[in-house]
Amino acid sequence: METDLLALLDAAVYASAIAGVVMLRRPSRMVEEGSFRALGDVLRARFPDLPAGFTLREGLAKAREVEPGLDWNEIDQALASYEGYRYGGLPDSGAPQPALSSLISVLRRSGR
Amino acid sequence: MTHDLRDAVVGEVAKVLVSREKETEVLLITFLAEGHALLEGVPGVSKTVLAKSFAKSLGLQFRRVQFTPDMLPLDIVGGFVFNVKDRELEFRKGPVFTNILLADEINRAPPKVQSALLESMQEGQVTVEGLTEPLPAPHMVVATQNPIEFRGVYPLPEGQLDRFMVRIMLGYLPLETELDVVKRNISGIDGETIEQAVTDKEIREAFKGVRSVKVADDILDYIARLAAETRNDPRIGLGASPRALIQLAKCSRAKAYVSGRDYVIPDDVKEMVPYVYPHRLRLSQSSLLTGDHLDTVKLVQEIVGKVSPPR
Repeated sequence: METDLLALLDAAVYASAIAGVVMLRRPSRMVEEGSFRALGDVLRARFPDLPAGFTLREGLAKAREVEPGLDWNEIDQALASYEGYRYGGLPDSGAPQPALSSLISVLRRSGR
Repeated sequence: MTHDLRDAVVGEVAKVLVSREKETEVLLITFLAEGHALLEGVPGVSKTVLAKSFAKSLGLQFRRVQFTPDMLPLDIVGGFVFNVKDRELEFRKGPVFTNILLADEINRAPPKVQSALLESMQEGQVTVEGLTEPLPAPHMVVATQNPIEFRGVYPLPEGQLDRFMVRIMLGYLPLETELDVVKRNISGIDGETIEQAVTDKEIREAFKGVRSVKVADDILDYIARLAAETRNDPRIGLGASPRALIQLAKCSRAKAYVSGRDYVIPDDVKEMVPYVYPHRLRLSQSSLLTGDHLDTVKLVQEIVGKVSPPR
């Protein structure tokens, strides 16, 4: 009886430890959300003629005109995934988005 | 599927109407959002053709009423007539009992007739002498009016305007497009060419789909902030009503649906605001006197540029 209880306790401890490790290894959505918030600020700084009421899609359309060489397919996908998460309650894709990071750095550099 | 629906309807209407794809799409969005549309434009810019072709492409029951100053409410909603055979009064349904009603030149009819449409537009039913009759579903009023006429017209009151989910302004087309219109017209292409582009089942599914589109709290907050700005602007005497907010939310949902999404993004709202808010607003007395040629469309554009959407 006591052995069964101990086995159950062991299983619970191991399960929570595994779950913790999995959670730590999963890419954090906060990082992506942060990237898009940063993108909003960078777009505003790079294109001062954008009105205060611009949307990310409008800002990205401007960026596409000046930086056509970037991987826009990936950026569009990242935006769609972010919108799905932000407004549609869709689950996190968890995929890394290097094109978005490079867009932010390129816009930061060209804005200087 | 959703793109198919839009492409099918817009493509079918484009058979007879050149360069009116955007207007057709807005009409479809209004229909799917269960609203009514007001088409405004000078004579001869295809307001009536647009409404007729749109109804035909959906394959729904369609009636057209030419509004005139001598009309009576019963010409629209119907009334009781004496049946000589049965020696009883019986209700004869008016033209409003249809899926799509084209109220042509609505501002030519006296206010009594215009207000007879109110209940049908808002409640989807008609009440005459205590008898309430439901209208067929779906039901949409597409009204047209000419903004340059001042004689022999009765401008729609704010209460009536507020019941139109959208106002679609039809302007002149560019010269080269107009030439295309003339060519098509003289070659004999007319409304008869339009065929039913979507099935009844697809329409029912689309209504269901629109109702299930999610509107996040941030989006609702954005819609409300846009409305609040119209109320706080000193150049505007009458701002957006609570009904305007609801209709903008519904319209944005339908816009998201036809764009193939099941959630609304700020761009949907931004795209629909110019169709939903301007006709409900009234300039303040001081703005009317300044002679700055202000109009509510320009003011709404300005407000949209000022209010930050969620990002």
